[in-house]
Amino acid sequence: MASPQLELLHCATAPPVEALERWGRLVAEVPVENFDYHAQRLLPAVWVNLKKASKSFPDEARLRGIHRRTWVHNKRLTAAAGSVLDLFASHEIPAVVLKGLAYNEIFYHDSGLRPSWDFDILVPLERASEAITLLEEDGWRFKEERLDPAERMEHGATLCKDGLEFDLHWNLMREARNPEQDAIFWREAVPITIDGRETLALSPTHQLFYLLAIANREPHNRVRYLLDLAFLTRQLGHEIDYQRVPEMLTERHIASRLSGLPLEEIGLEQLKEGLSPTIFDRLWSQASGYVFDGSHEWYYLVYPLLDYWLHYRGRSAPRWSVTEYMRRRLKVESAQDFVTRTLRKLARIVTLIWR
Amino acid sequence: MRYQPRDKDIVWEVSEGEVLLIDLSRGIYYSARQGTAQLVHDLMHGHSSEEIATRWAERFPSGADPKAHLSTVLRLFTSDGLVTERGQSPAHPGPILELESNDFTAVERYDDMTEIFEMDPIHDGDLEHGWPVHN
Repeated sequence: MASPQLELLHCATAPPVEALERWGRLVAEVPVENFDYHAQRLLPAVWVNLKKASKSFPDEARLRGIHRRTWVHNKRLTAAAGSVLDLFASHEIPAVVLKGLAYNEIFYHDSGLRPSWDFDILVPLERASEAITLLEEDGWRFKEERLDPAERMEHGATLCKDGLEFDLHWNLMREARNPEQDAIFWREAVPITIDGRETLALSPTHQLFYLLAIANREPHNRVRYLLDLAFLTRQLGHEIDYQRVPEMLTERHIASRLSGLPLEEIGLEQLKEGLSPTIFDRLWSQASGYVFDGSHEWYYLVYPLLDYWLHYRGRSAPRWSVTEYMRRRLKVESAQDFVTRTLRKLARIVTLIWR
Repeated sequence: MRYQPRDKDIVWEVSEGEVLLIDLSRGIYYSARQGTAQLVHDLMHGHSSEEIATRWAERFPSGADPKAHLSTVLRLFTSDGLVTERGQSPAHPGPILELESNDFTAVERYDDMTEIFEMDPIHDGDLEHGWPVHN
């Protein structure tokens, strides 16, 4: 049997009668109580698929409960997102809804199927500071340090209000934060209605690109994104330019993200064909998978150097030397501080290798 | 008398014969099952309480009279401000839910959303009804 998460993916996507058999075998081997948090997040989709075959199956009520809980939470998120969209619309700030909020509308058509922790909205980089001011006036607060979008040190930030979280993006993704790299997403965005409000979503081709880019960034969420990919391609496959997607990944140096992704499980293995990522691409695909917080020794200095090369070198906004960038990125206080920290990191790496 | 959800903060849906209903502004969650789900569904779709009771009597001539139960549901919904009276009849009331059960169960009401979200649906959920019914 495949890993529980992969098996759950099949329980959610296989023809219902086959899925029911798989589910019976899975829970006989791994009781539902033993599923980890990430496996549990697939259960609403499993319930929706299984109930097409039977009203009664092992742990039906528990799965129904998780679907119901997901529905309630997603409705709260959708209402909160609606208020944010109203706020942006009242100031004519364009918005593209991303991830769960968009997927529920575009291809799941069921607010209880995909558990989401938060919601994600992209605004144009040049309007992001204004959007943040509006959000702060509306009671939203940065979860962590306040960021200046113009510096593009991150692609977005998490804001909180009334116990809910919201990721405001000013770039689509951390891996590609130059304004010209986002232009195509805005140009080809498609209309969508969220809670009665007209707004925008990525085009089907860009939905596929984005999912492939982020699916392997978070290994613990990989199977969940595979589920999104399966639903997206089943429902909107005819609108997707499958040739363009690997090209876009290559242009952003993240094509090697596909190599560890079990796309064969959902019949998309052809997307990997013909890709030949360079060493630079492999490094960037790996290093950019983490939010750089100085704790990932393996990528200490690697991520900042590549990031500087891709996003700041030779640019006028912001016009930073590599030293200035490093000072900000690593929050270095002096040359001595930098040397000390670098030596400490190296010592930790040597210790890790030695062990 | 006809009713309608108070405003857009009242969100509801039918799932597997159960009506799920949330008052987003007050953080209250309601669940109606079996015959009660049908009453609530039809009520929210703008059918009058008289129409619902008549349909019920035709479908289940020897069954329980829904009027008393409908009054109980309406008392709860109006006191919670979940529904308001419709000024006029809708031109086309929404669909009715196919009547399958004449068992009336009380509307379940959970007024602490934080508390039910802290509950683990796998380990703490009721084995028959699931979250948010505690085992």
